[in-house]
Amino acid sequence: MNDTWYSKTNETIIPGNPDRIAIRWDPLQYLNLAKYLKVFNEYPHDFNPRIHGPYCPWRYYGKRDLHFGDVKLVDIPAWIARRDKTPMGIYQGGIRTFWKFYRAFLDNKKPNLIWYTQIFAVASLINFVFFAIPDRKHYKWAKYH
Amino acid sequence: MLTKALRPLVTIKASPLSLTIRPLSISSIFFQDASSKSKKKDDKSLVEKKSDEKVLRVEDSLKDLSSVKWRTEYNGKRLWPHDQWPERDLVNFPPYKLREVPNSVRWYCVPESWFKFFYEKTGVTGPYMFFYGLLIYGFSKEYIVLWYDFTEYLILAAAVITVVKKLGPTVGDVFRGWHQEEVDRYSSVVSNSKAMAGKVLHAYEDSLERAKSIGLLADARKDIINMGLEGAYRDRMKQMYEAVKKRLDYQVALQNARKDFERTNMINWITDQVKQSITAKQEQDALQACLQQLRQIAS
Repeated sequence: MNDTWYSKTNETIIPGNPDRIAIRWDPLQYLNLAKYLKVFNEYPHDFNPRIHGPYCPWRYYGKRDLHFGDVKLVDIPAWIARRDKTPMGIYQGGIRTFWKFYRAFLDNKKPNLIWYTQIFAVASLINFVFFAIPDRKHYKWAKYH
Repeated sequence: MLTKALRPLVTIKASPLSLTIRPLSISSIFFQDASSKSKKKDDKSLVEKKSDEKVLRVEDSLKDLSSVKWRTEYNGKRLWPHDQWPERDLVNFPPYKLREVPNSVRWYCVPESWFKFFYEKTGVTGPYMFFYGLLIYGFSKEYIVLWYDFTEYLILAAAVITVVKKLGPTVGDVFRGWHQEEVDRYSSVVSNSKAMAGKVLHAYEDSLERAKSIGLLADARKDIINMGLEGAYRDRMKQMYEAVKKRLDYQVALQNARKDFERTNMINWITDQVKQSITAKQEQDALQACLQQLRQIAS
């Protein structure tokens, strides 16, 4: 090599550094796809690391509300009304559900295959209810039950 | 320009600021600088995101760390470098802890939390009745059709459950063993170094103790030598005593012998002289005197 891989005058300038690359056309200006995905890669609005510490994706950082098992049947519509039903809210709820499942069955020192059987059971149920029952309707023994 | 008349009809009523200027074309999505200044920033979260942030350069991060903000005061109280998080809520948001075991389930797919939830309302048999009831409902309404393949499903279920119950724990242990081996490859380095360090420390401690006992050894050797010296001294003392005693005894014996010789010689000489001086007449007179005495005693 005729020149050292770092600059002789400034050691901190290394290859791959945008300062050294004299490029005219920066694709990131015109083809920045990361900014579309940024919406999905942000912390929730109510997360404050000074109060909540490191981010746990399975936790809800908004105002605490009743668990679905503790709410009374009369208050269910009001409870549903309080929920965040925007697409972003639904998306974050789905992410939280996944991480809760992960934490319940996969994030431990002695994992087993129950996570697999649960997914298998749910998939089997969906298949049974939506695909197998209609297929078996022709083989029913009685017409009226 | 043609859509100027339609702009008031297009505004969304639920927007927080109904006076926002909506973009007319999708060019604003694909070109970063277009209308970025007119958009309002609703940055309530502490994640500071800038719409036109530059690529981080190495020399920037090395030059100054001014982006790291340390606080020196909070609510009038001095904040120290080790205590920069006084607002941290550890009660409601405890720190992350790795769990030991997964959530327990019944029948391999129903979680225990459902059973606990229904315990107050239905008792212990609630969920069991629910699922068996579902099964019976399926049979009675012919959602589960009892066709000729039903036997296969029954036997399959029985076989799967038997196999899982018998081989499940074994297989889990085997996999866990493999995983633990792999983990031990990494952790054994440090633990072996610790063990070696402990052994070395133990050896050092032993050598230090031995170092203390070297003084005792030297004292013991000194004592042995001293005892030997004392023994030799006593032997020589004894020899000397015996030699001196021998010489003194010789002198004493010599004097005794001389005295004895002189005495015996004197006595013999005297007795010989006396015996020579005794005449025959003196012998006769002595005899007659002894005879008279005897007659006197006998009478």
